[in-house]
Amino acid sequence: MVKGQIKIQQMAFMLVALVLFFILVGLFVLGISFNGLKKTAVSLENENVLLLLTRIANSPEFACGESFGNRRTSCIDLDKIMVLASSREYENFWGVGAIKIRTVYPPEKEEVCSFSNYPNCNIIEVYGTDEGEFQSNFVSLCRKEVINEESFDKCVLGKIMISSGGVNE
Amino acid sequence: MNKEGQEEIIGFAVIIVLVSIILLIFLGVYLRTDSSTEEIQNYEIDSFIQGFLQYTSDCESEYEGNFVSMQDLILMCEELKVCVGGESSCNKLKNLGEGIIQGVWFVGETNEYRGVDFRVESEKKVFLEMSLGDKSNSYESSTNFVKGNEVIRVNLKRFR
Repeated sequence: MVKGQIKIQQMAFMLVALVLFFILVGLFVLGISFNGLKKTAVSLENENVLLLLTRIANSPEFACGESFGNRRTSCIDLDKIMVLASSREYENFWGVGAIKIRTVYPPEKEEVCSFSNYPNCNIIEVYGTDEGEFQSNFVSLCRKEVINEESFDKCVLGKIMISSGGVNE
Repeated sequence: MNKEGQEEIIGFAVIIVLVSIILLIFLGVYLRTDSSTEEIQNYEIDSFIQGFLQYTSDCESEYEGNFVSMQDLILMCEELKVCVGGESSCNKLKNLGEGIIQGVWFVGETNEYRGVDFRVESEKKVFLEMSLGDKSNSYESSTNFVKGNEVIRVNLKRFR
């Protein structure tokens, strides 16, 4: 009788130990899985920002349309943007903190564009003066250039940037 | 009784060893997936390639003032054409392409990305290939296609 009780007690301890062991293993596996989920969430968030940037770049107010030959994607008409930047009517239209456009290549002197120095500048502050964290994506920046009274299309590589404050709005 | 106890302890140890082996296998597979050269399609790189192809080169085709885009420069190179002034379009593509990659992607130990690999190629010909930095880690990549006499792949890999 006493021997039987000891056996049952042993088995009970064994079962408790096993259950605890498997709980620890489960927690370990869950920890690793949740770490992966967090990474996926961050990557999805970044992708959403990039999609938002592309959506803004391809909106009629920014896009090249057919001004430079065929319809192009992620192409911004700089001449149009200079006019847009001078207008205050679009201030609450985009739902983001600030929008900037910057030339990436060829490298230009760091200078904010105005009607007096355009196109010899590299940053257009389209809207807002937010100096917070900016998210960006590559775009093609096109304008009409004149050499020897001949007009031609000139596209450079640039980035459209929006302030992070507006991303979640 | 003593012998039975020993058998139970051995049984328990066997279970722990088995579970540990399973855990190690799981951990090994997980770490290998994380650090191998895994290809992830990247939206930012795709936008870069589109911008690259639309970039206006300093190569004029057929007459002065007719500056061609990088995409057209690739097609000119495929047909071995020359720019106005006599420079080979392939030479121009190589110089300008390398300049853009070096001017845009800053890679190195202290930067967010360790290396970059850029290729413009068809089945038969490599128009431009350029590698910068360390290319041993996982990478993100995107490929665009230019349709010439044959399909030309424009691919950029960015290594972490």
